[in-house]
Amino acid sequence: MQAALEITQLSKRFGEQFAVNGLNLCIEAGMFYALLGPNGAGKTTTLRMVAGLLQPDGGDIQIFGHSLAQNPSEAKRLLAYLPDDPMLYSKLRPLEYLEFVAGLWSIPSQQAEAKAIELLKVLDLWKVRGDYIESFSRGMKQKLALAGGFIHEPKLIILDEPLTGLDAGAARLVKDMLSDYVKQGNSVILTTHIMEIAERMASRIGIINKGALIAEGTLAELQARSGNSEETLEDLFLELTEVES
Amino acid sequence: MKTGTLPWLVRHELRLWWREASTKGLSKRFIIISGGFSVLLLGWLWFTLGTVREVLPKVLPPTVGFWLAVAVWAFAFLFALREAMAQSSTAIFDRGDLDLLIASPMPSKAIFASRLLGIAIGTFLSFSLFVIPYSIAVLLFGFYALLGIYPALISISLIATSLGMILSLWLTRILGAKRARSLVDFLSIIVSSVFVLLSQLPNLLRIYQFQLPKMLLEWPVFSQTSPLWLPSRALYFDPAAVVFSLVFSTALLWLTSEFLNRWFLSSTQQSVVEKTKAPKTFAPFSSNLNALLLKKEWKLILRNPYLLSRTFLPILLLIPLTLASLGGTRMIALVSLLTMGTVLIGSQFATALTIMSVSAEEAPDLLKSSPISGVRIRQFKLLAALIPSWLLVTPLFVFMGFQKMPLILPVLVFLGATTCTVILRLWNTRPIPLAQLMGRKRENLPSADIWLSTGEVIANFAWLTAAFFVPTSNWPFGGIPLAIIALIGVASYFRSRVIGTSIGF
Repeated sequence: MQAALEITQLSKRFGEQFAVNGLNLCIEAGMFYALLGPNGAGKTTTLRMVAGLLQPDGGDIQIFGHSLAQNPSEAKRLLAYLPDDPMLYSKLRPLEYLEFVAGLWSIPSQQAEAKAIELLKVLDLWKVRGDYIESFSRGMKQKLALAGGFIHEPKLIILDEPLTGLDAGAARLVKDMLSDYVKQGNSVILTTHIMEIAERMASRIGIINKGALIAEGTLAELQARSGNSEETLEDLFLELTEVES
Repeated sequence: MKTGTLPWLVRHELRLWWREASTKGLSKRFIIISGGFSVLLLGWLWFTLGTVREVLPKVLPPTVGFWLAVAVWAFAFLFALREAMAQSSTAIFDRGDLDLLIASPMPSKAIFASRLLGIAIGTFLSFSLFVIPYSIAVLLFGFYALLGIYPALISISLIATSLGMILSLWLTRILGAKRARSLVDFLSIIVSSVFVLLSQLPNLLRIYQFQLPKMLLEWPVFSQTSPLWLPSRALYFDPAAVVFSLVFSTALLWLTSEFLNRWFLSSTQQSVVEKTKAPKTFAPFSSNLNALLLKKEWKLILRNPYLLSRTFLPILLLIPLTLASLGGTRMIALVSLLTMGTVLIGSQFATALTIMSVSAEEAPDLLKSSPISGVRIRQFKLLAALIPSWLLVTPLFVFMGFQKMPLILPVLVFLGATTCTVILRLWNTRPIPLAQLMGRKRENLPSADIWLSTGEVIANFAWLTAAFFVPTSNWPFGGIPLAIIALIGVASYFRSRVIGTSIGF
């Protein structure tokens, strides 16, 4: 199966400190992948390099076979990146924002308009379509950013802590949308500090610490590795990261 | 110091102000700028004061000294009022630590009074850039009576703070927070504009040979002995004027804090976030990315009050320029004057728009993660700033065309100046949160980059010099500034390769 994301020997340094140190990662298409790690482990730095926001010091990133360094436009066309702090314009209205995002990804206008209306309705934002984004709550902003990610129908969506600020209903809605998206053959990579989400939703889990991948596999594989099939992901995570520390 | 009291709270406010100022490098910058200013001002005073010392006052000044004092008081008051209105708006509408203070058991009067004193101190300190070198000169020349500027400025700061706050609170009560904030910002621009226009008044009066002071003096209420001018007499230490100014201004501030603290508290609880009605129809989506890029920038610019303040001033500056051009000046001097005016206005406006479109880009990561090239995005951000600046000044060029003035060189200089201004910003800009454009932390604006500010000031002066000489084909004098501009451009380009920008090099 084709790899949605293939990272080889990726490294990034800030001053003397390695944020990412020789990271290797291969995520197959159609997979829901959870990238876990303690604070400062290098998750966000890795994702920002994959999204083309940070220049790696070394290594290679391939998105569906397109090298991010050599063919950034094609690689980015297949990707949506949603950071924990939504990338929005406070003085635009939701439809104006989605029109702009669709334009950046060169989506035909009629298709984009229909999709934008559908997304706003699904995400319960249609009733506030006339308001400026600045008046939105954090949860509403998260949902609109998610709509911005979905509007160009990327094959790979990368989400950094996507459930921050969402109430229970909105969190369920987002989780269902992501699960459905994977069922349609697309790929999702998500970071989270909530282990239950990774445990329930992810088909594969990677644990990163000090800029390197220290464990990877399905939950069952990780449990088998620890020799205790009853262990929760939280216990496994704490064991692995504490040993590393 | 007893905790929970007004002096304790004022000390806390001042400590926060100082921490922020010192950690952001403001003090160093302040010392450099005020030092340079002092040297320039002292030099200027050295030459000019000697010639005017005969007309300076002993007790009651002769006409020139008297009107000078009135003018200084009026200008200082307008400046202080503008400053106080802007700070009042911030004090009411920017949450900051307000929720913490209001939730604490501190009396609301103390919270409001500390905010008022903070504004008054800030307003008074904003004069220090001018007052410090002035005081040195006054001491050097032995005009000790002119140290009356200190009590005068203290009273001006207190009065302006009270009036600025009263106005802001009153407007919030009758209009609501959102409209009041916009109106207060707008009024502070109007005050700035009056300030600018008054500075042009002597020129206009000379052009139209208008004898305003003599007319005024014929009315008893405007005579030099009238109580109307009492506050301005404090400037040269008239004892009655000093006592009156200080007592009146302190009483006004005390009354404001005593009777309006409940208004203040209720105003701070209102939201300034705009709730708009859903439009009945939306324009259909467009696939034209170039149009979308421009449309997005202009929508964001038009919907932000920062633009208003930066647009209104250049347009008002056009008024004295147009009047001057109709005032019978020689053609060759007029071409130079108008070219300089277009360069000044266009550059100022283009800079403001570039700050909005480039520095205040709210979602640089969205742009960088999109498949569109950074070069294309930057090009359209430049155009979004340049096109309105060009349109703003076009009527002046049309006017010059009708007057059969030479146009090619002035237009070239104008296009060069505006493009250069925008590119300097683009190459050296850093991201700033949009809220800070109107907020309390204005020292964090991109202009706080000392190298960029210095480069811009030199480039602007060079373009103004070029605008004066180039339209008359005076190449030896016009060429030097153009060479300086080229050097600044090269230095900026290489600096941009080192520091990078918020929208991705």
